[in-house]
Amino acid sequence: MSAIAGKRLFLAAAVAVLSLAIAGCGQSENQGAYDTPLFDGGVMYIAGVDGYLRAVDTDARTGGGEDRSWAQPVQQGPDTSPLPLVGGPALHDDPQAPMVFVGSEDGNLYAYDAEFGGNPLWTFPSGDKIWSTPALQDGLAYFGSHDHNVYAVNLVDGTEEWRFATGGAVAGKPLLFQDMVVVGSFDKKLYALEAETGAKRWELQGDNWFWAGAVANDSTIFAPNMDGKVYAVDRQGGLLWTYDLGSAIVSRPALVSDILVVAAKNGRQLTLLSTDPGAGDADRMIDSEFVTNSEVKAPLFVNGNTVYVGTQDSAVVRLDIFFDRARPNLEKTWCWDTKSNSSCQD
Amino acid sequence: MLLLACAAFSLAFAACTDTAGLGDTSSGWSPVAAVAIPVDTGVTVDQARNVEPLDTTVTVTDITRFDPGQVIQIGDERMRITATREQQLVVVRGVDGTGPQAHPGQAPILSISGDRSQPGRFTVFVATKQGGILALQDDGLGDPSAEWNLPQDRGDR
Repeated sequence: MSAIAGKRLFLAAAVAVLSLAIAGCGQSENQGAYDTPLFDGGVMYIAGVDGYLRAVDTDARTGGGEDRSWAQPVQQGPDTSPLPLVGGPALHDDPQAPMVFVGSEDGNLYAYDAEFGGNPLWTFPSGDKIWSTPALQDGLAYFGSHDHNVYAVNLVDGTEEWRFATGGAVAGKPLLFQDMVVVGSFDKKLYALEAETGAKRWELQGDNWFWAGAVANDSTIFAPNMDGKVYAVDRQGGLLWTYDLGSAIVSRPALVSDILVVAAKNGRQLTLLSTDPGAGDADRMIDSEFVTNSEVKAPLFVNGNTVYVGTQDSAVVRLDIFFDRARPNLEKTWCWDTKSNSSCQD
Repeated sequence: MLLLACAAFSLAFAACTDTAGLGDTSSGWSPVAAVAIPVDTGVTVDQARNVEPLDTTVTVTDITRFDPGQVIQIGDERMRITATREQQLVVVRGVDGTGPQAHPGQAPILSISGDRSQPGRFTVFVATKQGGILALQDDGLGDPSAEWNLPQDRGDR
């Protein structure tokens, strides 16, 4: 074999391997989900990594009756492949015309009939991937896109009401706070926009990306950042306090009473923070508890005083907050390995 | 040329394993949701004391079943108990995404989050990294038990 033929053969082999590798991207184990399922009337809506939006009738799984489940590939047309759904679904619970909305990595926001799925009722194109879970209020869907914009779109027909340009991708779920939409951007800023017009009220500079969505109580916004800090901000954009967890925060935090529950990405600790603006640095951290040796990226889920954490090593951990002592305390109740369907081996 | 091919392959491999810049992207993040299974406390709102939406206390038939911090449910409304006194619960109204409502006397009171001996009960749903949806029954007293596991299907109804 000549040197030239050898090089051609090698090049062909390299191209073949490359092609296989690229082809494998779309066919690898695109499973699971990123964001939290939501429930309505015994039906769970979940946006899958495989690009499918599903309605799962959980009542029918246990109680029989008509199965209202459906599964819909979220795609622009029959000749396209569905791309991963990173953001979760949002439900417009109108009894006359319930609708479910989800953004796709293909850059579109899709609206579906929540009862039957089927073809999209409408699609709204943004300029890049959508990872943001929409937030709904007063007939509008608010969401961010990798095209750097925050959008407000009419729920009924998908027409654009306004857009606001940030300096980076907007990946988190917008927070609806009083008459504002609060969103974080990969430009390291937190923005407060007028919900009605999209006009900027204020912005706050962080040290890294604002990825996970913020949460709020009546008076304060709590915004996690990839710099490892939680930023507590008042409605005028004034920084009240920060608390550094020492590891990037991807997981959307939650509130239990007047306590902020937050997980750092390194998964070591679930931490309870006092939301009292008057608390000093020493009193800010109420309690913390070991969660897992794996990372935590999924949003926290709170019901009552119970916190559930999904981890990157396929475990689910339940922790409970108890109020029977001088300070609330956090205890790990169980850990369940979803791969083996058995208790975790800590 | 070898370097070029290796670089191209590395890029392709990186793209496969981290297509969205999300880290371990191919199998999601194991998000969880849980639906409460309310526990009947056997206690009701006092017969003569209807609860109005702006009230911050609830008079009950047996105060001994409640503790500060506990989350209760009356009708569709959840409340958090901040204190107990005589036969009254001092509450924060409309918590956990619910709103204040009016409740008649004798309305049953359910417990969502109890104490260590009677913790909250839930059905837990996990979107597993194996691609299914796992339902767990969770009484909070020990490990949960698997109720069902639904493999993903792609069939429309």
